[in-house]
Amino acid sequence: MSVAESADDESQLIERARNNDYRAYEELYRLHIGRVMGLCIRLLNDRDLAEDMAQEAFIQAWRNLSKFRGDSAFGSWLYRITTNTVLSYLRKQKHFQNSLDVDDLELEYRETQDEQIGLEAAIATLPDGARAVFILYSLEGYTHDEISRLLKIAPGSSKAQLHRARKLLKEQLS
Amino acid sequence: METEDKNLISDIELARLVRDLDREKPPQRDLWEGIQRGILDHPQARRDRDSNYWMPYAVAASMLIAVSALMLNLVQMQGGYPQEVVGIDRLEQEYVRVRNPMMEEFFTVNESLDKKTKDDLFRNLDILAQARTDLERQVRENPDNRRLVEMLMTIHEQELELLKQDYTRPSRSM
Repeated sequence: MSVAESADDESQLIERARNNDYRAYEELYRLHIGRVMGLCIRLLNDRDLAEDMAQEAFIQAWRNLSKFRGDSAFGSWLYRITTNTVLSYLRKQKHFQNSLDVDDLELEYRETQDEQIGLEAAIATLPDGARAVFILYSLEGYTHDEISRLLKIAPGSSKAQLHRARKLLKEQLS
Repeated sequence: METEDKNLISDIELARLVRDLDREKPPQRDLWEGIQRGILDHPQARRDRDSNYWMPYAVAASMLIAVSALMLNLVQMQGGYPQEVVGIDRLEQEYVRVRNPMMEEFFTVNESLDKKTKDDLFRNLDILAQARTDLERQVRENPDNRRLVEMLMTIHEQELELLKQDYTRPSRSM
């Protein structure tokens, strides 16, 4: 199936879902759950919690389907809702707030048993704040301005967290 | 670009690892059931389900309104409603046909209400029923009075609207 045909199919599913067709929305769920879970697991570092947040993101997306105008791809819109859902949870966690404090930018990562680890595992060892900024910037394509608004930090802090994350990752991967 | 430590991997190497990272991570359990439950528990979904439930009555009610409107137009065009085409008897017949099943459903749905609320509801229904009887009599006596027919149609709508409600739900108010 071509990309255009696939997009047409997705548009039809979205239209049907807007008309309360749960089956159509289930198909959209099956198309996007992998990417949504990937984002949730990396941001949260906790699979059970990630599954709860992924569920919540799909519920939020359903409730806001009427606001989806098709200006961007449905996937992009859904991943933004997922990001907001997870960050809204994380912002309420004290340990996460503490990890965003730029005055306390220790260059430390979590201990791991493996001597040589891959990028996935290395990301998991990052401090929460640095990990969130790295995922949003490097994997999800957010700008520092957008990240600063999402995390309620200064753009400079976002840049500092990204620098910290890259340095730690390089150390882990070398 | 980081250059201070030749043992660390380069920015380009890190970017390549990021690019190759699989964005998708499937959940370990099927999340759809929980999502569907979340969607169906939402007040909007409940309203949608209710509207589907009431659809047969809504169709019947719209037919009643069509009959009423036809009667009204004939009153306007011919200076009095023609008994032989569509008269007050036909309008009453249509109304009873729509109202009676709704009345039965209304009693069933609101069975669990406390006595005071039930008394209030029945008092309102009695007031509307009395107004309807009075108006029907006046329409019979003044078959060319468009205003009276309009008022009768309004009373029908109010009575049906009252019967459509499920007052056992906390969000409802009278």
